[in-house]
Amino acid sequence: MPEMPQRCSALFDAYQTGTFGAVPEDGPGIQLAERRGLAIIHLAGPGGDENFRTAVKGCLGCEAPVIPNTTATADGRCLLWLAPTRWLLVSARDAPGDLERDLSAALASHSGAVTDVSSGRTVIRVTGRDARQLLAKGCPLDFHGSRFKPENCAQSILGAINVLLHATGDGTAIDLYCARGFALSMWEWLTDAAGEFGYSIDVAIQG
Amino acid sequence: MFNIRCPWCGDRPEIEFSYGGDASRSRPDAPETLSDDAWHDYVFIRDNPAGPHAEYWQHTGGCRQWLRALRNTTTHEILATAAPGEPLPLSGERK
Repeated sequence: MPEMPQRCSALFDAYQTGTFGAVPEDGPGIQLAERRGLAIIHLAGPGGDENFRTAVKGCLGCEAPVIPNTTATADGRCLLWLAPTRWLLVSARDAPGDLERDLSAALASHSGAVTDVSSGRTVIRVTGRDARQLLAKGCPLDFHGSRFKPENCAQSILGAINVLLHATGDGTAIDLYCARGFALSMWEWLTDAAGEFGYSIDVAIQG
Repeated sequence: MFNIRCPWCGDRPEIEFSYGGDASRSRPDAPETLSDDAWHDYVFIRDNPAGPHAEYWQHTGGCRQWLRALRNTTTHEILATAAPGEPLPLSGERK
């Protein structure tokens, strides 16, 4: 079998670390970093079926959340709610092919679909004191801490591009998932909109 | 700009949604027995009410689920929304 080509970031040519924009005295208000090398799997299945969800948990150690726009994280794997029968599985510790194979095998007797979309998504992590204000410039979601809470996710539109947002950890870092083909456009929107706050582009996060 | 209450995601702005047509018509049970006039009426003839109107919308920029909404066509007020299979309040749905 020929060797598969290496995955290459859609932002590769545009990604330049450093500090940019109108940086105030107390430092840049925004930090941007791409998350690379993630395993990203699209999962479809009957969310209302207890047996299906038991099989998912048995394989991943992680519940498939049934409450809209919530996520479940366990052991380095995260399931994000996309729709009543759809989730996005994100793992920083699995190889995409292995995870797809294991989950497919675990769900073989259930209706559903497991699709590796790792190469089709670009993930950008936005942090910093002005992160939510930045996103509010181009996304109609309510970013107040009482509405977009830690471990919430939401699909919406950012600068006319469909985006999945995930308030990771304590909610200070927000991960943006967009289709690879729109990644450069989203990156240009982000870096343009972040100029007024001052921003740094950090070394890409592996995982 | 108006908000539409997605049955799953809650209040979201109109720009996340796509309009999916008139929801006040139901597909005939046995189209093969229908007269041409009755089929033409089902496919093409629509009311154009000034006031409450039952409509399909899809949350394309969000959870991608279809829903029905009752929209006042003169004020753009969304009076009610419902998931497929759920009753749409106040809609006056007709066959």
